[in-house]
Amino acid sequence: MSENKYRKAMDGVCDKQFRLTGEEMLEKAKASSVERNITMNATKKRNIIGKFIGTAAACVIISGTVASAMGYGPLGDRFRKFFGKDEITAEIIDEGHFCEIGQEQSDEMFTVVLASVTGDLSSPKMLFDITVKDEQLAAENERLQIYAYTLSEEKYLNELDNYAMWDAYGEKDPDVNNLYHVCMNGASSFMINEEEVIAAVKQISFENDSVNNKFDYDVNMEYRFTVPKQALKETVREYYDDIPMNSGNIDYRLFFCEFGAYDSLFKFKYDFLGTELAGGETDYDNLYAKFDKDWHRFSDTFILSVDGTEYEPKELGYGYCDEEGEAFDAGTCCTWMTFPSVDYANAVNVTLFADGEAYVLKGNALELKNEPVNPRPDSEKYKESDGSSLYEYDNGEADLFYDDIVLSSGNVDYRLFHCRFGKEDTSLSVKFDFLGTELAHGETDYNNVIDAFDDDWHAFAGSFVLNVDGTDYEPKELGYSYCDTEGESFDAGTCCTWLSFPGINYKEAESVILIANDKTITLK
Amino acid sequence: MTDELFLQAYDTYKNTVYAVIFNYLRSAEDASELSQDTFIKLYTYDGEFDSDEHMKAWLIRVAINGSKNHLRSRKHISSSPIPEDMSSDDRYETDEIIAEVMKLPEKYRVPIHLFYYEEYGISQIAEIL
Repeated sequence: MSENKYRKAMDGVCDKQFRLTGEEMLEKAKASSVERNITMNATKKRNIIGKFIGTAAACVIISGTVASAMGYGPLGDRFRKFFGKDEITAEIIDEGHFCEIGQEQSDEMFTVVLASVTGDLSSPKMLFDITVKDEQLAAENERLQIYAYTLSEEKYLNELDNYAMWDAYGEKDPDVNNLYHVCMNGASSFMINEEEVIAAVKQISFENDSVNNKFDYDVNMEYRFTVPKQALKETVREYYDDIPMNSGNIDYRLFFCEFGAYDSLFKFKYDFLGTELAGGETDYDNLYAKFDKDWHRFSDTFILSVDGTEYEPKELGYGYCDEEGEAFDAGTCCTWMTFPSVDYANAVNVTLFADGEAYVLKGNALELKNEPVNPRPDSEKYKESDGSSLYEYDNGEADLFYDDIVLSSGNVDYRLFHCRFGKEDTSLSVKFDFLGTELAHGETDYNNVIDAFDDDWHAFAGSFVLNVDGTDYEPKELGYSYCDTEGESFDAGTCCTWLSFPGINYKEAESVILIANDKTITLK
Repeated sequence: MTDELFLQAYDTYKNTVYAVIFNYLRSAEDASELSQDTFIKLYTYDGEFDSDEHMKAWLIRVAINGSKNHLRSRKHISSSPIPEDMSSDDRYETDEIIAEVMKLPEKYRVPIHLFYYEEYGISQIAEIL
């Protein structure tokens, strides 16, 4: 595809479809600016009122003892009625970490009440009650989805573009047909400082909408409140002097842990510049996949032992590198993992094991009872194997990395390097070289041969079959190739493409086999 | 921002903004609306730009964020993003190229647009995205 043709084509679309003149756009911008100022002024007025309400009446801490004395029973029971699966939050409410807000806003379609705030310092929760005035819309939907910003006033007014909205599903009240209850995560960084927070609900969405055929309803409902510290359950935060844990390639340095009601967060720093794994590369954007792979493989060996009870990692983060040195030294990266929640405060001995090495976090050293589920193979064993690395997740999804399994179409050697088993799709990624192949006919500019290679891939991969526990699946979607001519992601002249199958639950499957013409690859 | 600077910026970058949003949303109507929102944000932006390139990168960033926020709620992707009122000759060539690109998944479509339309390098594209 010629870049000139693409640019010309896209310019044609832009010129035809986006015809607002500069003067017209300026007029709209000015008009919008006046409205925004009015809104901002009104906001400031509401700010004062909101603050008064927030401190005087709308945020009432109700302790479990008081609730029981008043005959309410365990305070969390109401929460359990609507959010039965979230026992952690229900227990937090039972313990009295609960702040009633009771702010209501309404428009022609909805009444939205920010009822209360609960949770802990690392995972605060906002509870909303939403009345859908269109009874037909409510009748068609057992649940809805809301989107909201949670920010400080200053960020909300001046830096909104730097933040994304949170979203959450709301389930219908069992007794009231058009009432929904939502438990939404809040931004802990803004909600734990006892400073005013804005929760701005911007959209309410439905899966079914046969009457209006709109599905997504814009709303503009802002709630201002302050969360008293005691309303959120305390977490335990521990800071460490960079405890080094070596993966064989990288020193990961543990510097912070937060033990909360929902999980235990562990944060690590590491340097990438000058390491063998970086291989002289100085731009982390070109290295993140290698370092993520190393981190995920290493952290699979981690076990947290708390007074003899052992926990495997719950979730693994990806590396973030602070190239500009604003948070850490330039060239220093950060990553994280979580374990299930533990009672760190009352524990006597806490030890973290990484690849069999013990690191005492509290008390005395413990011994490892169980081998890690996915032990890191020693280097010789790794080389002798098929060269794959498997990362399985609790939700049934998985990532499988290969050291290039060759699948030949007869014209091109496609090298399978990654399989991603997700709920929606099972996607397989392949690399291939085009330079010097017969199909390229001596051409060195991939733009001039891309169609031939795409046709080859589609003809080849279109016949692939994924067999899962005896059931065959055909490809769902075939990708088009992208060639890294400048060699910034891969070697110059190396291209990438993909195909997808329907999603499968990798954890539950017993056998997963890819049949690529005459080649059979066992994925599980 | 002065009116004069705004008009200049709009004239220079209106296609840039529209094109990147169109690549995300694949709907001419939604792209037009969101493009206007992006320029309204430019008009009311309080900060300063070091250079034209800085402004352009800011506009693309805001356009992408706006598109992503919009897509989070989107249920229906337009099946006919090609304008109806183009001449048949233009339409044939435009149809084929744009339609082929629009078939790509977002993770390839958007970087390809930035690569071929804005002529950004891969590192720059990664920074923006």
